[in-house]
Amino acid sequence: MSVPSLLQIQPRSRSRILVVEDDPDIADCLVSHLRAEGYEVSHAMNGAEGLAAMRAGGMDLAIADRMLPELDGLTMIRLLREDGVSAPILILSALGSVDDRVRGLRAGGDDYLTKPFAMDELMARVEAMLRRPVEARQTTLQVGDLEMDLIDRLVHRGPREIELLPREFKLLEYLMRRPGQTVTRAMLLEDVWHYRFTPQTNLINVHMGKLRHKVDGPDETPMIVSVRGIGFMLRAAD
Amino acid sequence: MPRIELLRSAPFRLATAFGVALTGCTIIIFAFIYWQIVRLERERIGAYLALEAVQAAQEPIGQLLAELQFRQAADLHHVSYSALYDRDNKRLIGNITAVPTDLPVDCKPHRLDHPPQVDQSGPTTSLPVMLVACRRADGGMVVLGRELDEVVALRGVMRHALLLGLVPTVILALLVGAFLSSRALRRVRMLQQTIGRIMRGNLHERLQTYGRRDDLDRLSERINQMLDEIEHLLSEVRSIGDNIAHDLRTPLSVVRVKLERATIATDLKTASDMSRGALADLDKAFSIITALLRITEIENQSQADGMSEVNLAELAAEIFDLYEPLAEAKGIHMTASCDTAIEIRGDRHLLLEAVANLVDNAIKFTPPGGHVCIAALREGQTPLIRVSDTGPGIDETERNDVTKRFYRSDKSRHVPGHGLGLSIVVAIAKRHEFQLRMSDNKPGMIFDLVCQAPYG
Repeated sequence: MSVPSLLQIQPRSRSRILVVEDDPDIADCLVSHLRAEGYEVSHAMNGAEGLAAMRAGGMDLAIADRMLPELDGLTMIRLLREDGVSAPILILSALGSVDDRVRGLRAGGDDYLTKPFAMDELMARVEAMLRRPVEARQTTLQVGDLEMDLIDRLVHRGPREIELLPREFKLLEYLMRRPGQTVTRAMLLEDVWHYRFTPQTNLINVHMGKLRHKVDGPDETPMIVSVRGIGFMLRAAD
Repeated sequence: MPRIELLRSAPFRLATAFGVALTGCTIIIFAFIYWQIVRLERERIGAYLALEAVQAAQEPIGQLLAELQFRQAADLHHVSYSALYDRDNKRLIGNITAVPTDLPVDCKPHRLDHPPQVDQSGPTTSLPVMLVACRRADGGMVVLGRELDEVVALRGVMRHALLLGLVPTVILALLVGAFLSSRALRRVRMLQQTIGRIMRGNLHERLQTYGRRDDLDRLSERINQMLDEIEHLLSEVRSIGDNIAHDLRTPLSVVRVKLERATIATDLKTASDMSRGALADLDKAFSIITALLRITEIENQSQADGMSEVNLAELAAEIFDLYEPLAEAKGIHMTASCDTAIEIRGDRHLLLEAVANLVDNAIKFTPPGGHVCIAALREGQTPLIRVSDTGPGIDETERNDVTKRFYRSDKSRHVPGHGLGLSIVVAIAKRHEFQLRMSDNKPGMIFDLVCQAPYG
């Protein structure tokens, strides 16, 4: 099975991202990594600069540290949301408690990542935030020859019907709404299971293994692939 | 300095206050007795004089003169006053030379602060007097009186008794107070010295008690209990610190070695493999830190946060749904029995986390072909969630230790994990005021998360 790197699968228009981070090392890493992924990146050293840059417009997404000099990240986000700036914002924070996370999202953040984080996790989340998932109102989803009927709760791959348990159905639906996009284990835990804790054992792998076994038949081209040990991707079979 | 300390000590102050109170009370009692006696004495004298005067006013003049003469002669102490006037206000007999003008002639006793003027046979003192004046049928006037000397004498007696009784009592009270306070001070000084040594880091020392069950003893006992608790916590913190250092040092040193090898690797594949390995080890170190922070977070959350009605059966079913594929992959037969709806009050997310940790452990330790069961049930009125397995179990002697942070039983050394799972369960149980109970499944373990009924 081929393991595609994130670089290979980016069919990207050049999205503009603002990084608001005061730690020069982390900022450096973020900026160069994002540039390598093909984004256009600007950098702000503090909350006030970040606020000005976002207000000037033209940014598709912001990555903001929570603790910033002059104007802290949460206040900056609140002010931006009051101004009607709606670009998605990803909060980075060393504060990892459930309460901190809830406060961050309540202030207007769209996602929250605790330091230390894997760069791949960050990239996957940035990608997810830039792409809007498929409309929730749709009654059928289709990726390649995989088809999902949301009303009758039926799944077909070509002519073959796939029988899924409720949890597997939810998992596949989540993937089918984000085709060709890396979905990390943490994202699945948060969005499909709604868990606020990380289980000690890697349960997601087991669940995905079962789902993959059902979706990808023995002589079919695999649709569910692992991505660099961090997550999974559903893509149309070539 | 010690004398001032003695005067300031609580027992001495008590003794002084006692002395003052005793003096006050005694003076009040004596004053009352004095007042009552004086009143009675005056009434008695007055009544006697009035009776005498009324009699004298009715007697024939000759007899009266003789009697008055006898009265004066018999008055050896010179305490009596007497006088007889004819109708022309001429004194016929008696020692009063001038009748006070403000004395009413009404046959009733009257107290005068200043005695009337008298000749040489009358009283020589100037004490208050009791006088009675009566008009006779022949127009004359008879005046009789008496010095109130008993009252003065009584006052002297009282003062004497008061001094004799009170002074030794007060001195005794102060002495006892001084004795008690010096004894208490000695104990307090010893306590201070011991506390000083404890503050300087000698945490094993304890305050001495004397088996008297008095205030100081009880206070010392409480302080000793507090010291026990502090010592226990400190040793726990110390061992946690040691464990954190040790548990982080192991993966970090592996990281170091791998990175070192990556830097000197000649081919890119080795370098990238080594770096990837180092990353995985770093993640392990981070997971330890995350778990520790999580425990602190759970312990510090306020009691009311996130509490709602939770259906235990649904919760068990959800955990079963989550873990069943894992058990199956390991060849373990997993079952769930959660038919009846059991509602309790709790934090759903935390309870899920607790039960997930228990099931995670159960699957980890149960060998292939074994059995793991999760059940929501009622034991009498008490709802509980039970996770049982057919693994190696935990020795009774080890059951207290397994909930301690970082404790790894010998049986679990080879099993991956950060050794904090049960600590998290215990923290969650504590926050809910629930109880984690362990018992033998013969073979294997039974973990019961015993929940209180929703309303008491």
